Amino acid sequence: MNREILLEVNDLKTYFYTVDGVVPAVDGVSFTISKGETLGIVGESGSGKSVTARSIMRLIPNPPGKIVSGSIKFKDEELLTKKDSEMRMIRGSKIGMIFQDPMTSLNPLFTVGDQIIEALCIHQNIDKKEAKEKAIEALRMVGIPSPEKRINNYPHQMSGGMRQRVMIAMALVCSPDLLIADEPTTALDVTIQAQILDLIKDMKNMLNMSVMIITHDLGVVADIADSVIVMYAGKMMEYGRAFDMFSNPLHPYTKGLLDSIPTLSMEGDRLKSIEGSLPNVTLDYKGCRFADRCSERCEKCFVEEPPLIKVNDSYVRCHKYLNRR
Amino acid sequence: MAESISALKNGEVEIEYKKSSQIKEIWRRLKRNRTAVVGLFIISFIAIIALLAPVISPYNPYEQNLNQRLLGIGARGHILGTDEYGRDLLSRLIYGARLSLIVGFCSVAFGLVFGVLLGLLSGYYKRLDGIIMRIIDILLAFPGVLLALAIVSILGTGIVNVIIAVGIWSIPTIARVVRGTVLYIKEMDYVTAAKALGESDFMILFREILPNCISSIVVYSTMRLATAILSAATLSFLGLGAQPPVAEWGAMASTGRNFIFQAPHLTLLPGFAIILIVYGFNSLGDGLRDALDPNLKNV
Repeated sequence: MNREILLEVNDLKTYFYTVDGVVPAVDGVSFTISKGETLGIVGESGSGKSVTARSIMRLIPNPPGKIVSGSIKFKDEELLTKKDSEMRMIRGSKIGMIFQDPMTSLNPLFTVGDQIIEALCIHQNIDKKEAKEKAIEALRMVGIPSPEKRINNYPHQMSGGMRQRVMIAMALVCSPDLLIADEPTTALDVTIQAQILDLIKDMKNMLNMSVMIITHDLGVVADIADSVIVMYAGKMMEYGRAFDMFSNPLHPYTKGLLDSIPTLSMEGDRLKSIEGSLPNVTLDYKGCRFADRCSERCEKCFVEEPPLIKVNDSYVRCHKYLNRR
Repeated sequence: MAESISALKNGEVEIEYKKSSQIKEIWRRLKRNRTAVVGLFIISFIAIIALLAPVISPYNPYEQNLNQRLLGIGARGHILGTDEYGRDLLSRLIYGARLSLIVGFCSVAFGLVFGVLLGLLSGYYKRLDGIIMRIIDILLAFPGVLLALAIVSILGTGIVNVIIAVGIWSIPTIARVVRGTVLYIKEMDYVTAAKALGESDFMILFREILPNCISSIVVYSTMRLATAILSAATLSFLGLGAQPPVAEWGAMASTGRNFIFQAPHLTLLPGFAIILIVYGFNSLGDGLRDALDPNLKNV
């Protein structure tokens, strides 16, 4: 399958300059998203998933954050060299974004209708009446019942799932080519999670867009993603097709993640976990970032950082696969 | 929340939401607070008196009657007595309410225009923050009324100059309050979400951030009104504000001082009027803070 490439991220590095030193939150991440493809990015808290997404949108607060190097090409246009005003034209109209917590992502002082109309009016030159009709249409599209009434609701009059639907409607009202979903289901309960994921899938097919979904829930990835990136401490640990990763995980970290998913058959056992936590990464960090917690580590892992190695169709950052080529 | 279950249609509960629910909610919460109601009552009372001054005042406040100088409280024809030129004290107090309210509102409005703008800019743009806040620090370094005193002595005496002076004096604290709120609001998710939708800085400042600062601005302005009226009266008392024969409470108290032993009411009554209006605005501000604070909502 050789589909047209929509987004190409190359060696992206986003560092945060804090009082305690430089933190490489995203350290050399490269991937592509084709048209109509869904890319999942998984990793635990602090692994740099959200920073990657916000770097693409150029929403990194500066200071302290800064995109140090790399390139982000969207439809063959470099985003990192764009002026702020040009970037604004892309945000919302070409790339839509939804956030983790629908409870705080809507302005509490305006009705949801006003906020969707606002999103429309930034990018399209239409009159209020037309915008209102489009807003009602957008609410209907994301499955909100009686949208012509709901349009006059304030965010606090809606449930979390409803608000996330409104967020999706706002992000999609200008039919973007790419939707970035930053943990869209984390703050919702399980039944609503499934509904929202289904909605994102439906919308993706209907609008023929690409989706980049960030999550720490492998179930979400299995459900929705075509390809997956596993991130750890700012580095890509594994990158490949979702099916391959679930059937044949390469990196010990990925294996650990998959093993940590509780199953019903393990009744009575303790939940499995990966011991330890993320290392405090600094610029002069040596060796594999996962080495401390890795079950298959060797001495080399503490000295030298492994490169990304191609194994079949996937990429993996582990010394284990270096000799097998 | 202000929902009313209007009717059962096809077995479905139809919930109607009213657009004005927020204002009603604030009013409901304000009503429960006794000091706030008292404050609101006092302010409305003074405002009505000020509005109807020409109708309700028994005499022209500037009409002198030298035959009836320094009458005491309860004198025939002059309920609250007369001053040293035989002018009716009640009429002068009523007209003074007008002046106090005008001075208070105008100077706070003046301070708000600049203070809110400076606060927004320094809260939102880190680069401007240092410069603006240092200027504010310099203004704040002057103790109390001293700054207003200095400004008035530069601009000259008179009501308009008092308004400007008290207004300038209000700028730094208003800017501080607004900046603090902006620093908090700009970290909210909906601001990031607005950026992700492609909103410009201008729109984010005036559509996302400013509306969410309004409640703290309203509360602070109400309290500030009290301070503004008090300091305007102080300036007049010191002879730098309203000039005789203008009926201004501070100025009236000041001239009444010369007759404090023969006719203490000339000083006490204007002083009492000032206390009343300041108390009114302060307790209303307190009540508004409780009513508008989203963190206290379900208390």
